[in-house]
Amino acid sequence: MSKLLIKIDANKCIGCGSCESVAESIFRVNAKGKAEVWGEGDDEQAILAAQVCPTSAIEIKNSETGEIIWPKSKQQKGGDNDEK
Amino acid sequence: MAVKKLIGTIEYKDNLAGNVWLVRIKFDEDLYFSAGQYVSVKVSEEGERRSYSIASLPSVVNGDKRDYIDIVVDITPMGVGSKFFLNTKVNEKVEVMGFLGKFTVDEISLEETDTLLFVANGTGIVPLKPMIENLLEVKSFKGKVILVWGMRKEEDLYWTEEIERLTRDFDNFSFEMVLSIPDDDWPGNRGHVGDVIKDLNIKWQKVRAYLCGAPEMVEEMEGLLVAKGVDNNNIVHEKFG
Repeated sequence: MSKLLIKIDANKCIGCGSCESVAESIFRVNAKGKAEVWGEGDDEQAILAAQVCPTSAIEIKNSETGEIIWPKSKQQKGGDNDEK
Repeated sequence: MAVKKLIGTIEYKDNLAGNVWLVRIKFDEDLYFSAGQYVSVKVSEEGERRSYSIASLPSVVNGDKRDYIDIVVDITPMGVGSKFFLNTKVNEKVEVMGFLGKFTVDEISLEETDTLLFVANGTGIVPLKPMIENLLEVKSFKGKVILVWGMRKEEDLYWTEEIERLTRDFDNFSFEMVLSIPDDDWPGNRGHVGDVIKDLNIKWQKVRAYLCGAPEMVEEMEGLLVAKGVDNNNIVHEKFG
């Protein structure tokens, strides 16, 4: 069982489906057009999905230690959106 | 095409206007994606990534093989992505995750659509340009295609000659450029994209709209289009801040 705790900020999610494309067994875009966690899968894929999220809407923690795995620092979470 | 990591090489960087740069990334394989999709580029050793819409067309079936993508980088925020592309030199390698996003033209919907309305502000034009080129030049779409693009000043503009060429080559395509802070001698539209859209004379019930740009613009245009009679299901958007 995965040790990851995945949290999605629905206010930030734009429903682009990138997380779903990277880790379809873990993420899906629901009928409201927002990403949600619906299953389990490879931890590395989950982290990659969080990394590719264009709005940094996904936070991943180690459920045992509470350590934030992604984003690495608060600075990385939004703030300097120089993309798209 | 499944999402995968690709290693590409920066082929060139071209200053389009002001702080806006076009970056061409070349790969060892032909690329198959849908016009309107984006890539996620690794911009730091810590694994930070930034998303960039693809400005170029994918490989198509008629033998036109493409092994590169063009992306557009606005360095105004001077964040980690801006610095990465400023510091990365031609011939250096980059890691790209592609291809992502669902902001593409749904081919089934084309049969039920009279008019495709594309609305962008700022660099929101980036995914719309290949979507329009794909429709007109590759798919030979015969319905009406309208692009309304809002920018601030004339000096911010780029690609206008290429887009104007499309208006000459395709009778079913029209282009409205709108400037919010134009010079006194600007001959075109003044104001915001909504000022142009509200005056369009089209059958709104048969419109499918693609909106891309700042969230405030997208939300405002959604409201305007619904008020005009566009079905909510026919409004597709990509918001970015």
